[in-house]
Amino acid sequence: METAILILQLIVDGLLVGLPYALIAIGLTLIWGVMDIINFAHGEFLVVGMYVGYWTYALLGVSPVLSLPVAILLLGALGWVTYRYAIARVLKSENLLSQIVVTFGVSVFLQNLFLFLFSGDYRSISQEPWIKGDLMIQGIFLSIPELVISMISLLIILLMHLFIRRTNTGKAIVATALDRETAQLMGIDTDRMNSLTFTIGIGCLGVAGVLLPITTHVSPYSGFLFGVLAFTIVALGGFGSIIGTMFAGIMVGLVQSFGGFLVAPAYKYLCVFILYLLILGIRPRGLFGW
Amino acid sequence: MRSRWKSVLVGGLIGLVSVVSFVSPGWSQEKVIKIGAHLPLSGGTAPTGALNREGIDLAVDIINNRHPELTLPLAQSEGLPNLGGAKIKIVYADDRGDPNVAMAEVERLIQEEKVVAIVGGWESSCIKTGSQVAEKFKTPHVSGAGSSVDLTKRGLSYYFRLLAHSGKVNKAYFDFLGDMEKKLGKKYGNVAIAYENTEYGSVFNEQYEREVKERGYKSVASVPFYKAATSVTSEVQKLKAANPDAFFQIGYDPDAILFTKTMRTFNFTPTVWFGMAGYTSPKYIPSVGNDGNGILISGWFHPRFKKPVTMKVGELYAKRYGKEMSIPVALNFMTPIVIAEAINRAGSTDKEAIRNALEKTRLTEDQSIMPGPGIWFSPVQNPPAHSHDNEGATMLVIQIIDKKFEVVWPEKYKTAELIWPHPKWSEK
Repeated sequence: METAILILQLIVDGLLVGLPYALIAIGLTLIWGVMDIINFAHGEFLVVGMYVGYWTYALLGVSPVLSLPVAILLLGALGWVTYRYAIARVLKSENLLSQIVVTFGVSVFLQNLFLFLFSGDYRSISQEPWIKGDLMIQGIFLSIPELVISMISLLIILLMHLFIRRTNTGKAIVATALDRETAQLMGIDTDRMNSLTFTIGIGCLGVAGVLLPITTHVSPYSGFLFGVLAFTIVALGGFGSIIGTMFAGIMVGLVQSFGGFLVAPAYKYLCVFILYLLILGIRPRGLFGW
Repeated sequence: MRSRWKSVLVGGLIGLVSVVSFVSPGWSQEKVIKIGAHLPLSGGTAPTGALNREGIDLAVDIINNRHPELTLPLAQSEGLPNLGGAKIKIVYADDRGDPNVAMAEVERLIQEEKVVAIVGGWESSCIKTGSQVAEKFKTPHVSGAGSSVDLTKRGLSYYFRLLAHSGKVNKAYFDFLGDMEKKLGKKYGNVAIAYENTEYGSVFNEQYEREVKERGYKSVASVPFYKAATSVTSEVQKLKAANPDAFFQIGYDPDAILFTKTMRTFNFTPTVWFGMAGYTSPKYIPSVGNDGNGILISGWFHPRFKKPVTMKVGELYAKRYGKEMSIPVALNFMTPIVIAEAINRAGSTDKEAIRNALEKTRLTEDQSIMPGPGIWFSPVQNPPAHSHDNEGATMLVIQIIDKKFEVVWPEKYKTAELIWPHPKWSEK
């Protein structure tokens, strides 16, 4: 009985950690799938969202749930500006190196901007007015903030899936990802699709970012680990696949949870990366790749 | 006629000055004894450096002027009585918290400023390089900060450390635990540790393991974790499954906050919860609120701990700077006093004589503002034994009570009653 509860607990932990990971990775997978460009600044954009959540709470005492729409709009706008003034220019050049350098440059710029503005301190939301407390159901412990963040993540992931699969704009994005030239021949404005994808991809980070300081901490360097995990999830799930990303996110969460408990907590991320290498060896385009 | 008179006067004055300086070449040195201090006065740790400086300045004021209300050495006299009332002057140098700059600045202090001894350093790394240079120039170096165990394990002859090194943190925890066991007639035999897996946590863990083994405790879980991890769920589950009596958590601010939140979620309450580093951060209590109550932390100093001389110095400091004495102020406060006392005893500003006198330093409990029975140094020994480490240096055990840090052990210094055992989450 105790073992069953323990296993259930580890599964629940994996889900609670994995779903927000998946939400973070969605932006990366879309941008990668559609534009064929790796956004190295993905983690740093997430940190922008985290700081929005933290500062609106710290300065105005407002729950991050209320600042959610602001964060989505702000991050979306930031994504659009970044695409217009940095990414669009290098996409034309078709020089792979300049594509890598530009997002890497944005990442370094943002990280140093955070350091300059907010110092290297770790900050977290201590007394969230609404989302707080813990639950115990049948011997399983749950943190309400983690549960809420996972549920919101799941909701956004499903909405994104519906948007991509069911709407004309979504289909146009998929078409652009699958074959840019044919999409152009069909009358799709692929440049607009690019900018839309970047805006939506970064906007999703607003959702995850703004809520994360409730359960974890934010510092100028917080983006790195999330960025690397998102990269792993995308590679596992397959580029451009939202449902694939969701499953990969959950898988990473579960491996982290079980690996942390069964092997050693210090190696939980190592377990994730071993899984990544294994799947990459067996199925290089990921589990659900286009 | 007039110009001739003028030249006679000028010539006479020049002659007089040269005669005076020839007759008493050591006059100026004897009246003012220069001690060099290297501190981070700019850069990231500059605010801490400024606090260190306040402590040193206050100590120099106590040495140079009469403070009959204090039991500190040289407080009763003006200056150093054995050297004709000579005054101490501190020559400050900015090491910027950079070990390379510390090296250059200590060399400058010795070679150009002609200081007879060096105090200070805040970062262990700067103390390490600064004291190495002082050793080369055979100049005594006394540091009030620098907790790295290695500092006194180099067999240096001119370097002296006042602070209790990090190895004594574990000792204080286990001494305290032993005291509690004796008092309550219970054994808290099962211990567990979670430590961040970089140098700080790993070194702490090595010392912890030694104490556990030597004192016959049973380690039921040892959990290294990724520093600044975004989630510590599996760590806490592993610890909870091990069900320890005493739990040690070693990590920085984010780790301390995350562990507290996660331990609450999983309703994990050991009988004793020791924390280190992150729990003393100014960010910790505001981030966790009442959840931090009951956690035990070791500390070098506490502004209100019950020692008469410390309380009096605290009042002096508050009068001068309008605030409570903080750890960085206190840590370097004793350094000029220890050196001045040695110089006075040696009756000389010869560096070798000062070094020899430092080796014979025997300050009693009342003669130091730091906790512990006093200040005396171990002899120079072959590494890995400690050389010139303050054997009287001890740690306090501090508990977070009602969102404030209070001294609970040793009993004679306590500022509040210990909360025991660690309160349940529902009672916090």
